[in-house]
Amino acid sequence: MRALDLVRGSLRRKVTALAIATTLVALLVSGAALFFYDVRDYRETRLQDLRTKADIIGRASAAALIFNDAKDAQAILDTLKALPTVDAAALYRADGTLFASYRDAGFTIPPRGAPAGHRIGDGRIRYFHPIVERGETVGTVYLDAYDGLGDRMRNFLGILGAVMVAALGAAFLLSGWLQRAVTQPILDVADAARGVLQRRDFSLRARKSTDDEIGALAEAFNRMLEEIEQRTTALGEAADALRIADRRKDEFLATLAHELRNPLAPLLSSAALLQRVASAEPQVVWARDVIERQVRHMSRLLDDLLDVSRITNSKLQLRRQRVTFASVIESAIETSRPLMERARHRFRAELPVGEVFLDGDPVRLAQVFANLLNNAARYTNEGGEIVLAAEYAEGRLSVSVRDNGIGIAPQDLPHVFDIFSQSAPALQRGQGGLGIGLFLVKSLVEMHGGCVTAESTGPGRGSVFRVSLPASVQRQAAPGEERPHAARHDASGLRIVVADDNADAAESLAMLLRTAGHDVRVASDGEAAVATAQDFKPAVALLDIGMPKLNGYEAARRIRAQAWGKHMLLVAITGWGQQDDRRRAFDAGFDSHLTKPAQMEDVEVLLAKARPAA
Amino acid sequence: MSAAAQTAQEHEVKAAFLFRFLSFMEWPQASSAPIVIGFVGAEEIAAELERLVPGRAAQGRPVAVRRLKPGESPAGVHVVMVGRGEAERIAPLAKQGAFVVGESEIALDRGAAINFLVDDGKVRFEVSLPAAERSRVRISSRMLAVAYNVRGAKP
Repeated sequence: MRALDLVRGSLRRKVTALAIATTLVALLVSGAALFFYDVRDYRETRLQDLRTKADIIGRASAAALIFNDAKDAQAILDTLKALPTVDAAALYRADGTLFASYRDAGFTIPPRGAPAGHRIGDGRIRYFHPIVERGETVGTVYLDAYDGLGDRMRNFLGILGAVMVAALGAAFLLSGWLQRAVTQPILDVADAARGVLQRRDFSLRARKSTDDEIGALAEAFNRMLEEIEQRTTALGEAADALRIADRRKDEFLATLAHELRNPLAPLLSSAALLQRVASAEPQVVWARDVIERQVRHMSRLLDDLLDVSRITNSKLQLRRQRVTFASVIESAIETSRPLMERARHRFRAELPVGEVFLDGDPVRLAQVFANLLNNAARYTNEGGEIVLAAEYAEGRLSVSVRDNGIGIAPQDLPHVFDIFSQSAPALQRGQGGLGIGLFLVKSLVEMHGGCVTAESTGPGRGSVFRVSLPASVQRQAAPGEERPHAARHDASGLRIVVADDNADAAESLAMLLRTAGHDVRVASDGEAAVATAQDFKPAVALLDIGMPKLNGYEAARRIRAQAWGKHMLLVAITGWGQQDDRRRAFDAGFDSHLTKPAQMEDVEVLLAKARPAA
Repeated sequence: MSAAAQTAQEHEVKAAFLFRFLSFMEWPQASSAPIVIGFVGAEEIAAELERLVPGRAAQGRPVAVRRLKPGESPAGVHVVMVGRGEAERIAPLAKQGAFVVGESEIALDRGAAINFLVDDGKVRFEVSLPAAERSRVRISSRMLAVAYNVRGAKP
C-alpha cells in the first residue's frame, strides 16, 4: 500500500500513516482486551444469574420435593415460562429420578439428575444445582438457558467496528492538523533547501515557525546558508579580483611586448644596414652579427609573449591551409639550427618517406616544432644528441623530439606545459627563458586538434616530447600557399615614404631601403607623411600607426582620398600585430600590414608587388 | 401395589414426613436439646421413625422418640403423634398445649395442628394454624405451600 510506504513518500503521508496506524493498533489491542474481558465477565454474570434462578427454584420447590408434591413442583417450574432465556427446566429427587419438568419445543431433558455443575456450549448454559434443605440434599434443579454470548459478541464487534471507523476518521483529521503543526515547518525547511539547490540562491531562508527541534533545525540551516552566502560572496569577490588582475596582467604583457618591440625595429634595420654596407673589419662584422642575432632572439621572445597574450585573450587566429609536413619541419629546423650548431649538438631527423599533409597555420606549426627543438637544444649539455622522428599512421602524424639533456624531475612533469612554469634545474642553468614556450606549444597543438605529451625518466636522463596531429597523405586540389621563405626579390628604384615618430626607427628603415637602391623620404608624424606623399608622389608609403598629430589610419585615409594616392601601395607598420589592428588597417585603405620590427625580407616582398604599379 | 405394601409404605412416608415437619417448625425458645416426638398409638410409625433418626438432626438438634403412656402429660414433648385408633385423646392433649399430629378425618376438629390424609394414593397433610398457634409453634409458609389444606389461614 502506497500510503504506508514509510521509506519513500512524503513526510505528510508518513505522518498520516503514523497517526492511522497508531490509532488502529491501539484500538485493536484495547478492543481485543475489552472483548475477552467482556466475554468472561458476561459468562460469569450469566452463570451467576442462572445460579440465582436455580437457587430460588430449588428453595421454592424444596418443600414440594420433601413432601412429594409434584403438582406444586410443576407449578413452580411453569413460572419459568415467563423467562425467555430458560427453555427447559427439571427437578430431580435426591436419588436422581425425574420429579418434575418443563420444556419448550425442541429441547430435551436429561433423564436423570447429575452432580452440581454447568456445561457451556452451543450457545447454551446447562446447569445442575443441588437443593439443600437444612443441610440435607433433597434434590437437583436443572436449567437449560440460552447464554446470549453470540448476540453479545456480535453487538460488541459491531460497536467496536463503528468506534474504529469513527476513530480512524478522527485520526485522519487529527493527522491533518498535525501536519500543519509538525510537518509544515519541516516542509518549509525542505522547500528552502530545494530552492537553494535549484536556484543557487543562498539568500533564501527557511521560515522558522516553531520553537522545538524543527525550529532549531531551521535556524541551523539558515545560519549555514548565511555562512555559505558570505563565503560565496567572498569567493566571488576574490575571483573577480583575480580575473581583473589576470586581465591587467595580460594587458600589461601585451603592452610590454609592444613597447619592447618598438626599439627593436630600428635596431634590426640598423643591423641589416650594416650587413649591406660591406666592411672588412672583422670586429665590425662580429659586432654586427652579435647585434643581429641578439635582436632576432629578443624579437622571438617578444613574439612568443605576444602570442601568449593573444592565446589568453582568445585572440589568436589560425590561418589554416593545406601544408606539407616537410615544409613545416624544414622551417622549424632552420629556425633552431643556429642554436643547435652553437651548442654543437648532433641533430638527426627521421621523417616519413611519402608526403604528409597537415591542415593548419604553417607559421604556427613551424613555431611548435621550432620551440620543441629550441627547448631540446637549450636544455641539453654541449655536444648532446637531438633526434626528431615523425611517422604517419591512420590519419595521425606523430612527431617526437628526443634529447639526452637534463631531463625533467617526476614532480615537474605534470606542470611542464603550464604557463610561466620553470623547472629548478633549468633555472639554475640560467636558461629559464620566459616559461611560455611549452605553453605556446600545447596551446597551438590543441588549436590544431592535436595533443602533446612530455616524458622523462628523470633528471639527467633526457626527455621526449611527443606531438600528435590530425594529418592526411592525400594532396588536395588546391594546395595552399606555402610560406614564402627567404625569397629574394629584386625590387629597387622605388620612391618610398617612411613615416614614424620614432626617428631612429624611421631613419634606420630608410637607410636600409636606400641601400637597396630606393629613393626614400622620411616623415615624423601623420600630417608630415601626407604632405611628403603629396610632394613626392611615392609608389610606396610605409606608415607607422601610432603617430602624433595624425595617426596612421587617418593618414592612409587622406592619401587614399587623393587622386595621386589611389594606387599607392600603403603598408601599415605596427607593434600591435593583432587581428583587430589588421582589420582596422585594411578598413583605412592600407594594402598590407607588417608587424614591428619589420623584416627586410617581408618589406622586399611587398615592394615587389608595388613594382608593376610604379 | 398390595394393600399391605401400601400400608407399609404409608407409615414409612408418614415417619419421614414427621421428621421433615421438624425442619419447618419454629419454637419460641431456642435450644439445642433434642427434639422429642411423642407417640400415642401409631406404633408402626414410631418404630419406623426410631429407625430413621439415629445420627440425623433437625435444625441441628437430635431427634428422640418417646411413647406416651395413657394419661401421661405431654410436657417436654415437642410433637405428639396420635394414631388412628387413639383419636379421642387428641382433644385432652391439645388442651394441655401439645402440638398434635393426627391421622383421622376428625383430628383437626379435635384440636390437632396437622393431620395426615391419603389423596389419590399419596400421603398428604393438612394444617390448622389456630391449633399450631395455641401450642405456640410457627409453621414455615413453604411447608404450608405444599399442604393439602390449611385451615385458619388469614387472607
